[in-house]
Amino acid sequence: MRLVIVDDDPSVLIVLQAYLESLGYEVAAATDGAEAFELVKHGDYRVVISDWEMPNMNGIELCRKIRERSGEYVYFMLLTSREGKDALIDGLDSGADDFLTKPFEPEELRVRLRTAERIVSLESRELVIFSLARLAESRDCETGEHLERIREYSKALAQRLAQHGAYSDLIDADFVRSIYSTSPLHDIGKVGIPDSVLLKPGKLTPAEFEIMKEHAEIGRQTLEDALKAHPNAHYLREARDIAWCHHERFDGTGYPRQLSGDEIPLSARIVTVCDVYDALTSKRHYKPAFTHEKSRQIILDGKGTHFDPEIVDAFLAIEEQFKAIRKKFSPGAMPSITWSLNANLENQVTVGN
Amino acid sequence: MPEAFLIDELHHRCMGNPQLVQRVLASFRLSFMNDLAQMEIHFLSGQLEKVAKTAHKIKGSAANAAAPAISELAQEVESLARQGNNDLDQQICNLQSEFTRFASAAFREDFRQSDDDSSTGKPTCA
Ligand SMILES: [Fe+2]
Repeated sequence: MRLVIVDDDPSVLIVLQAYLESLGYEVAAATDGAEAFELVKHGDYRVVISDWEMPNMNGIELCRKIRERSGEYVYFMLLTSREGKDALIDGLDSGADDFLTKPFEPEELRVRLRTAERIVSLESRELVIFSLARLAESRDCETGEHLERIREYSKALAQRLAQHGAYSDLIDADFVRSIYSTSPLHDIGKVGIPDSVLLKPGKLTPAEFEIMKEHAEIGRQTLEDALKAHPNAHYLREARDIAWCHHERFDGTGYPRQLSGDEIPLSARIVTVCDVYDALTSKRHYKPAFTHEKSRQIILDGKGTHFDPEIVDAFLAIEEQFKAIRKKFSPGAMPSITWSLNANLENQVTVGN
Repeated sequence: MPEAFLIDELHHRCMGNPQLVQRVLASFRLSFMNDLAQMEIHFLSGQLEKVAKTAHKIKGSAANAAAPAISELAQEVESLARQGNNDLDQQICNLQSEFTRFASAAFREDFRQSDDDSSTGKPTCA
């Protein structure tokens, strides 16, 4: 990880830089805020350790300027000889993430940096997952803000289920966070579906639909390979489960494995409801966008057959939230000609039911 | 009276690397001389706000160089200056003499270090 240290006192920079480099960090040093800001602007630095009082631009102004930028999150630590609660509050108010007093204690700094790294890598992880998912979806002109909606719906349902009903013991904050970041990967397997099928304007033949169905297995394979390379990345396991199982049906008539009931991972059962709701309320070449009421009725009709009844109940309890998310992430202008995408849904929901 | 120089603390912060200790001490010496001169100028021209800022800077670099006595004295100057106290002659003078105390302790460490390094058999200082 690369970091910037900034202090107007060279003797502080010397010892700080040597220590951080001994921990394996790549360090760039600056002697005032303006110089540090240039470094952050032009280089890939994720952590800044800054003095407070400095000529030209002080640490607080530097922090504020960094926060004004868009782009990746920069973790900001103030290292200062100011003491007392007021200084701490001022510092954290300005947007700093952590506050250390001079002189730094090596062991403490090392621990605090581990926290910094964890937070920064969480952030990058979100970005990587989302851009992967975006890539998979990019051939798919119809879906608009589908991914944003899916993760919002999934999070809302998981939060509801955490508080009410039979699954409240199974769902904690980690589960909610995890489903939020991994649900956008549910259709990642579509990268392996040929254009002739994925982008076909019109109803799929049964043979084409069989090909389309492979996206669940392809998604599993892709994420499992990633999981083998990074066995500690638990979110990949969850992403794999979702990609693999989001077309299973509660009664065991889905695909690819005809799992039923709680054989289907809970996260996948949640995403199934979200994915179907999103397809129903979106315009497709073969159907207009259904109203919330009509879509709600279709979900209700599938309670216990297509969908887990507990999750349908949770959906009904928070349907206003679904409406709000739908409204918030509606594309301004949808193209009037759209392509056949969720053809699987066409067959399963619109036609099948 | 706080210690002039906490060699162990600085060694720890420098991961036991004597060259690094030397570099930090040399750099601190330089910045302290410079800061103290600045402080005198600000003081003589009655710019107490700037005196306080410079004192604050000394406080930080002294703490970093494991010089608690200087750091505390600098903090005293900082708060007196912020209160608008003009009567800082004595404190600034004390800073100077604290630095002398610090330098002799740090120098002694310098020599001791040089002695350690003289395993080649050639004495480095008379
Ligand atoms: Fe799918």
